[in-house]
Amino acid sequence: MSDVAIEMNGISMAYGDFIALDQLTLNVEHGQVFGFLGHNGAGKTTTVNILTTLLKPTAGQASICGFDIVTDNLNARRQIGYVPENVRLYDEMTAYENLRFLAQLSGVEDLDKTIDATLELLDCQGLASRRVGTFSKGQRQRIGLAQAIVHRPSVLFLDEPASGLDPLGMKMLRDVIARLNSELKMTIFMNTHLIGEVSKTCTSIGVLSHGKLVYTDTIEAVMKRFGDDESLESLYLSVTPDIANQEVS
Amino acid sequence: MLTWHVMASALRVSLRDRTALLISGLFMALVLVSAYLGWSATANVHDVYAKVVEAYALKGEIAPPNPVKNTSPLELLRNMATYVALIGALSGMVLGNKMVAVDRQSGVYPLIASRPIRTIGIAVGKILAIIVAISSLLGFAALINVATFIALPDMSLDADQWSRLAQFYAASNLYVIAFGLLGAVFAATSRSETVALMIPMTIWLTITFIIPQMTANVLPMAALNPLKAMVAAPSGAFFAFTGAVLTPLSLGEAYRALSAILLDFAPPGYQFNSFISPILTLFVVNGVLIISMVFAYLKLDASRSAYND
Repeated sequence: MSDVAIEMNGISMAYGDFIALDQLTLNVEHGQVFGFLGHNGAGKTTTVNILTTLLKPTAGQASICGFDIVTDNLNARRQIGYVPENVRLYDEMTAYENLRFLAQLSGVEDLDKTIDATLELLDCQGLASRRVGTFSKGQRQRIGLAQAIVHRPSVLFLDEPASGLDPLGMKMLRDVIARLNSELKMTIFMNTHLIGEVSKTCTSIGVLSHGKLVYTDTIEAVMKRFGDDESLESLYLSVTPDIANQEVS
Repeated sequence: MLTWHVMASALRVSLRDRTALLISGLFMALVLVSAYLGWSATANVHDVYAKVVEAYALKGEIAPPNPVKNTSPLELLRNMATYVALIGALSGMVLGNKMVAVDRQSGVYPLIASRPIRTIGIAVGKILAIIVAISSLLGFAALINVATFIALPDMSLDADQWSRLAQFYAASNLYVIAFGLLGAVFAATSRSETVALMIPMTIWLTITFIIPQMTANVLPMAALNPLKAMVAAPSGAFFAFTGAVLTPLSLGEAYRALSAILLDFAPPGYQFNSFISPILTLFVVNGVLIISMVFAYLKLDASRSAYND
């Protein structure tokens, strides 16, 4: 198997005249925790929508673990787990029922055992029999994460996973991401605009601005070069100068 | 296999939807009321007839035959045809709508669409769920009717009548499933959840009350009591044109015609004024709606599937 988990070659997405993604070329290797940084509207969610096969790109080619996302999308889907920005499930069903349905669709065979193990991994067995409609944001996020990893995907996509979480929830998320990456060997692709989170969680980063990839490197190299979170922020602002100017003005 | 999971989930979710449960419960309540009224009216006539027979016997005369036996027992179901056309169609529409809308409204659709299942498999799962839910609803109604016929004194159905009762429920199934699919198609294509229910409601009103006005000049109030009011279109160029063009598409009339023929209610000499038979109209409409449902899903953008409202 190739070392590349996610491969994008010249991916573009246009909505009429508006170019949401412009010739995006990027590789993410197996085992990485990739932080995808960018301002609001930069095209991060569009990228994740394309990679999770929810959206067809207007140009370019992309693959997940070697499976083309357009021509071999069923196999590509077998490799991925996806947590959207606002995790929403069937409110009238229990967490267990939601997980069971989505696990069935992913082809999980030993349902009870796998769901129990997943809930244990995320330390949320107590939520299984409760209706999702009664959950807090943090609890929803955990069950959202559970549905994404219940079939043990090779690549996990997280769209703004820390959005709306309290500090405790954010720490839990960091710990879970680290465990999924180290214990289950999942490659993680995380959209975020929280620079502080990137340095604590990711092994490499990419910066997107107005649909264009403007920077990419390992987090080690970035930290060696810039040193701390504040400098990481300087890096971010330097590679997206027009955003910096907009925010100043 | 994945299609079955989609179907099972849609059924499970709809069983917990209050609106769908309420309107389906109302339909079942009306079926029970209809069964009770039929049983009670027939039993009353029998009681009165027994007393008449007794009185005639005291005078040493033979009583005239029991009037109940001069009518087809299936006629007792005339109210059912009205309930199916009104509340049954509404139940089907709400069930179909909810089964599709819940995925978009809850935000679960992108999670389903990112699983290794083809879009057509999701659509077929939903179609099967609609068929199973509506068939179950009408199956319960049929059981109640069968129990009523078994319980009715001195009234039994022969083999042909049992067969026509089964055919009536098959036709009712097709009619209600058409509305279930209609609700589902608009739930999949509309951007707003409110509009997704409003458009099929408008279509239902048009099919039930407006088209029959143009094909057979049946006024809306008469359409509420459809079996007795089936008449041929009046003469005149306008009705000749609208009758020829619209009657084959007039789902409500096709169902009323079938009900009347199967339940011995058709006025003497009545003929469905269309070049295709009413049962074919029901099949064609369902076929068109199934194809529309598959296309609606193929066109549904999973990345922007949430409703605007």
